[in-house]
Amino acid sequence: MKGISFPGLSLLYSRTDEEAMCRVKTHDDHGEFDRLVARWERPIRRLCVRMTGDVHRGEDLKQETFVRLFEKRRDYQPTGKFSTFLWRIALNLCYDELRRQNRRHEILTSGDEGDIRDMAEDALTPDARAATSEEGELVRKALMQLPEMYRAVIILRHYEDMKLARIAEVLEIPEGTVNSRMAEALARLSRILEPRLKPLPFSESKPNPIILPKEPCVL
Amino acid sequence: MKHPEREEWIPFIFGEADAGQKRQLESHLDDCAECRDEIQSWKRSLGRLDSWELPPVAKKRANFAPLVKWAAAAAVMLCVGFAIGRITAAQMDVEKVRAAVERDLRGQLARIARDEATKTTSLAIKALSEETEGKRAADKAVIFAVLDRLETQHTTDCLTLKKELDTLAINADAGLRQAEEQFVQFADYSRPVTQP
Repeated sequence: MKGISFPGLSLLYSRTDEEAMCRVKTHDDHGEFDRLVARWERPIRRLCVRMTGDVHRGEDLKQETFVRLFEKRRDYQPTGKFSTFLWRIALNLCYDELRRQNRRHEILTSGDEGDIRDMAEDALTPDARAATSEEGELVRKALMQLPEMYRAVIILRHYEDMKLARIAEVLEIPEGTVNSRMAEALARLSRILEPRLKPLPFSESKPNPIILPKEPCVL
Repeated sequence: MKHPEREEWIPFIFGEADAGQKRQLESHLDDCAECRDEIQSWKRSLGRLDSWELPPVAKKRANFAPLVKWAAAAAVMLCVGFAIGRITAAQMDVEKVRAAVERDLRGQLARIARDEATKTTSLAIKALSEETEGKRAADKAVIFAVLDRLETQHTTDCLTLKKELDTLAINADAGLRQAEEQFVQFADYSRPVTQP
């Protein structure tokens, strides 16, 4: 019974995410909230795990995202897309967590320039490490070396398959900024992943523009 | 050669560039080995991203091995403790405990039985009173009906009697008057005509 499902059919009678969120906002409808969680927990988990590079921390952040979503239900504007609202909550929580993590790391190493990727590595349990392929582990480490604003655009575009314009909407930045962040992210990623890469023509001719991270919007 | 800005490549790489941009960038790639190398390396990096797979959502599967070990240890300790207790405890204690428990149990049983009996009795009384009430109502109805009939009979009888009495009175009256007339007549006939 469980194997048979009719996603198309269920669309006919189920509410849209926006309608469901309005129900949650105005009626504290727990049933609709549960359905929203069921629909969105996997993408949010993926985002949180990839942003932190840590399955357990990502799971925790996913939980926290939905707690925060319920707390902020009154702030939801029905004119806006529900998913945008949710992605922003999750991203802000990830940014907060990463900042906390960096601070902790700074205190622990007290000025020693040991890099953050070691921490992320420690966070992997032996099981998880065994399950992850060597190549996957390399990619994970490379992404963890990127500043989070570059990591975010790569994750949203590549793993979550968002269009560039949509990323701009979620991050509340101009599309041009998304493109320049993405270019920087890809350049850095290639430099990490392809150690024998020739010096880049662009980076020699002119230094890469340093894009300061915009303070993540507080919703 | 003038290279395109780096961010211009992004929509192109992700297949979001419009036809004009695409043509322009493609023709640049044909001519410029530097850009070709860079864009190819970006695409290679993107291609490698998929090798980072996330573990499936962890099913909360409890690890039973340590649990079993601890349970076994606990069981052993319990058995040892019980055995020691059995060996060291005096027989007197057992008797005393048994007596106490017995008293306690008896008390409890008696209380339960009493409660049960009270409950049963009150239920029976209630049922009985309901039944009596019903019977009384039925009897009352029957009596009323009989009384009603009797009264009707009585009234009818009275009326009949009165009518008969009236008839009798009228008849008697007529009889008397007739007798009186006959008497007068008779007196007329019998009076001697001796008078002058």
